[in-house]
Parts: sequence; structure tokens; C-alpha cells
Amino acid sequence: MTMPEVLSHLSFTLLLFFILPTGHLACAGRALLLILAGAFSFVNVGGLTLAEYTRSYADELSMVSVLWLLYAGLSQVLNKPVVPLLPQIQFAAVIALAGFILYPAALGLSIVDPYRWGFSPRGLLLAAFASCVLWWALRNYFAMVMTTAATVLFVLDIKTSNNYWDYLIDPLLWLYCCAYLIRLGMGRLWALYRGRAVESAPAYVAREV
Amino acid sequence: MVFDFILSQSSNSRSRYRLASLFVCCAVFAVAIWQFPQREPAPFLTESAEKSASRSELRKPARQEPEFKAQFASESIDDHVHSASITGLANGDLMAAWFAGTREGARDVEIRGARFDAQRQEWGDEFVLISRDTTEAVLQRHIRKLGNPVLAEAPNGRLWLFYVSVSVGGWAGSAINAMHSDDNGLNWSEPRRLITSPFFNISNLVRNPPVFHADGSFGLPIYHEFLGKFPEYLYMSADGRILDKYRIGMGRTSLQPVVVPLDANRGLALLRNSGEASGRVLASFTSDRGKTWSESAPMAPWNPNSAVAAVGEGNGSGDVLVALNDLRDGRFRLSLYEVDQNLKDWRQLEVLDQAPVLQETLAADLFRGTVAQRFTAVSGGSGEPVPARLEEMISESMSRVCDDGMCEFKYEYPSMIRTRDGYFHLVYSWHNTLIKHVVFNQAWLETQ
Repeated sequence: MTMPEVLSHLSFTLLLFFILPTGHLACAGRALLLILAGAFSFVNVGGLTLAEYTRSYADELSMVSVLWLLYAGLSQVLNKPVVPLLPQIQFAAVIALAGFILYPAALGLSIVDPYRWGFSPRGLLLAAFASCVLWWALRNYFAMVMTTAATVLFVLDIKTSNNYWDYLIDPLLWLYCCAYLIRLGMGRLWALYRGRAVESAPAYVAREV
Repeated sequence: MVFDFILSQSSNSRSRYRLASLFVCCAVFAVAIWQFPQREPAPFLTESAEKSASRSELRKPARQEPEFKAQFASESIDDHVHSASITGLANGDLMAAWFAGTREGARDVEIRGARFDAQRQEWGDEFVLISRDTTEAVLQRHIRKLGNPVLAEAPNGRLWLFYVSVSVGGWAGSAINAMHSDDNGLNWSEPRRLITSPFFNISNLVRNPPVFHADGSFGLPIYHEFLGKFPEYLYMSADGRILDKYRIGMGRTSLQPVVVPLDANRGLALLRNSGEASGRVLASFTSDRGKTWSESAPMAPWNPNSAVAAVGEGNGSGDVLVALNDLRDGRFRLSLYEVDQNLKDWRQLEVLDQAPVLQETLAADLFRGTVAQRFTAVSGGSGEPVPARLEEMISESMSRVCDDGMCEFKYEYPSMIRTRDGYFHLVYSWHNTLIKHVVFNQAWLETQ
């Protein structure tokens, strides 16, 4: 089995485990579910496994996605977050911003193609290194580890792509980060609105709210 | 866990872990930056450099007698054939590739090829170069359809085959695949998917052959057609690793670039005009080996949103030969032009094929008579008696290009090369039923 095939099965397994409800399961039950998700990735339909079908439509996930899913899977099995939420929100914000720079321009909305920076990646590597130093200064070790590990895997050339961007970001990760941040922002706005509503409401309404 | 462990350490220990993490990060990026140096494209492979770099032993000067002849490269008349490509081989033979199936985009479409025997001066039996099933099995991903094969022989003798495959949707969902052969196309490597786009790797296609650079690297002209329609230059190493990607244009009006090197640094790209209104063929120039390109500008000939082929004339003339449908609408005439390097002085050399009356569709009877006469005039490659195939060929052609008693003449998708012996070879789709091969030499050009 080649490394891209291993990655496609790993991605499928972790994605499936990520979306499965594991609410009342104990740690061992969750681990079993993860193993079952892994076995499910090998189910063959019409000559291709489910992992291969997923790769056909969603293409290969970036290494940051795989690492983040690994972290999410670990947190889900242990039933507690290993890393606080704030570093992940900061990292998601940077991924969302990077996607807004990369995708519209790469799809032709600009004569400058940022995707080419990933083929001849010195500039992009320097930018990623600068971001790692910033993460280090901000004590966001989650983002620092994610970026550095993706860079190690890029040097090891384990994906089909030899473009550095494809190790850092993929469209599904970008959409997820955007959706996550929008949901978070909406939640904050809603909380703010509720707080104001409670403050300005008559006492009998505020009690009900 | 790791983070809990670190947080549980004393302040001194935490500082040490913190510094160690920065050190590891610096080391990783230092190695990465060292390992990926910036690369500039090498000079284009010029005619003189090509001769010295070539391993071919069969280089011979162009014959003095003017020669112009045509035959069919494909054999089967049962399938819809389209998008042909041709290359010279190191032993002097030729190889052509095209896609064939019940219709364009059908699941049974496969990439077929045929070999032209230079000694016998005829095309051999056609064969399957790669099928959808094989592509799916090797790439281990669902493949809906195949298209647009491109053949090219590198100066080191390696034969490249590029083609597109689609997993989801129409041609906008295409990805490019590459195969190579080191024995003149007898045995091929497994197909490999090129990753050329960050967005699900979709919507990059190939149509015209690569341009080789002096160090063995090459530039593959590709194009994008998803949100925009624009051409790009995919710069690759001699072993097929993508080194860089340069944008030739942007917007929604140009497709299928064909690149012609003019000297070591300069080159031009002719582009299919895919704008909504009728337009002229577009062109863009580079003076830094394909890295940056001028804004595309319309040239003299009309281009009805159809493919263009071009090749340098060689022999130090600096002129360029261009094959295209020089029409405002339709593909019922295919012409050969000669133009100077600045693309100012266009001269029509020959009408390669055209409908008997200059209009896109004609009555079925007129179509039948014209196609029968043209087919009989061109020697078939199968060795089968022509009359036996004639009726079948006509009815197959009519099933593809006729509707409601009116038939459309289609001479399209040209692909042109100049081989080391000085001959020019052109292949194109002939009513989507056969692939026609036209060959001429420098002496013939001089008589035009």
C-alpha cells in the first residue's frame, strides 16, 4: 500500500469517526468505533473501496487536515479536549484567511497565482516559518506543531502533490474553518444580543429568558 | 497528555521546552528551505541545440522534391474519434493518439494510438494506449471519462503521453494524467495524476504538446475552465515533476494554448478564443522562457472557438506555421497559414479541408457525395478495399454530424509537429469519424 493510499484510508476513517455521534459511549467504545470506521474504509463497492471513492470526489486532504482530524479523534476517544479552544480558533482563522487568498486567485480571479508559490516554495516556507515564530510568541503551540509537522511531511514528500499548499490547506478544511468561525461569531452575537435583551427587558421577561 | 505534562512542569523546565520547540521548528524550516531552492526556467531548446541534444541516429535532410500527401491515421470507423496528437519517434517512425468511443464523454471512451512506419510510409493497426478502467484501477479513484491525449517525444528519447480524466461532472472537472515510455511506445509506465490545482485538483486540461527546454525540463501548455477560462504553462522537470506553473492569461476568453519557442528566451502562445462573440485567434508573448506572458491580443485570422495548432518552421526562417479553422462560425474549413514571428503578416498557404460550399451545414445528399469522393481520394490505412468501407464510413459519419437531413462538415482539432527530418505532420478530426494525417516538407512550403 502506497503512502497516498494509507492517507486516503486514514482520512476516511477519521472523517467518519469525526461525524459519528459518540455521546454516551465510554472510552473503549469510542476506540472500538474508530476501529470499525477504519474497517469500513476498506469496504469494496464496484471495484473501489469507500476510501477511494471519497478520494475521487474530495481529493486528498491536506496534512494539516489529517493531523487536526487525528487530534480531534484522540480528543473524542479520550472524551476531553487535549488543547484549549482558543489556539484552535486562532489557527482556524489563519486557515480561513489563507483560503481566501489562495482559492479565488488560483481559480483565475487574479493574474497572480498564489498556488505556484507552493511549487517553488521558499517564499511560502519563509512565511510559514514566520507564522510559527508568531505562534510561538503567542504560546499557540497547537498551530505551531500543526504547521511544523505538515512541513516535515512535505520534506518527506508523502503526498501525491509536490505543492506545499497541499500540505497546509485543502478546500474542505477551509470550508470547515469558515463555517466554524461563522458559527462561533453568530453564537457570540446571539449571546451579546441575549445579554442586551435581558438587561433592557422588564424584570419578569428577563427571568424567563 | 503532552500538554498537561508540560504545564505541570516547573517554570524553568517550561522555558526549556519552549526554547526546544522553537529550535526544532527552526531546524525543520531550515532543512525545508535548503531543500527547495528557487528555480528559473532554463532556455528554450532551440533548433541547433535540439540537433546536438538529440539521440536520434536517423536525422536526414529534408528531401528536395516538394511533397504533400494525406492519409488516415485511424482505422476503426465505428467510434466517435477526436482530439488527435502526433509525435515523431527516435527511430524515425511516428505515433499518433486520439480518444475514441461511442460519443465524446462516454464511459467507453479510451485513448487509442497508431504507429506510422517510416519505411513503409503507412499507418499500422490502431491499439489502445490507456482505457478508463485501467486509469481507474491504477489511480484507485473513480473515473467517469477520458479525453484529450497529447503525445510528445523528449530530446532524451522519452515518450510522454498526457491525457485528462474526469471523476465528477463535465470537462471542468478534469485532471491531467501522465505516462511515459522509454522504448518508443512499446511499454508504458502506469498513469500518474498531476496535481495542478488546489481546488480538488479539478479543471486543468491539456490539449497541445509540451515545449522542451535546454536542460531537459519542459513546459506543458495547459488550460483551466471552471470559474474562468485561461491558459497556463506548467513547467516540469525531465522526469515529470512539476517545478512551477506560470499563468499565460486570465479571464474567460482563452483556452488550449499552443506554445512555439522563437529563440532561447522568447516564445509565443496562440490561444483558442472562447469568448461568447465571434472573435479572432488570440496570442501572447514571453521573453523570459515562459515565466511571464504579455496580455493576449487578437490576431488577424478568425477563430470560431476552435483549437489551433502551430509549429516553428525551422531552418532558420523564424516563421511559424499555423493550422486553424479561419472562420467566424463553424469548423467546415481548416487552413494552413504561415506567419512571421511578430504574428503581423499572415499568409494562407493551403486550405487543408473544406466543405464544398462555404457554409456549416449542407443537405445530406451533398454531404454524402463529398465525403465519398474525399474518402476515396485519401488512402486508407487499414489495407481493406476502400469501397467496402465506404458505405459504412459514410453512414457512421452521417450518424455523428447529420441531423434532420442537414449535415455539418467538421475538420477540427489540428495538432502539428516538425520532425527531425524536416517534415511537417498534421493530424486532425475528420467528421469525428477518422483521424486524418497530412504531411508536407520544406520544399513544398517554398512552392506555396
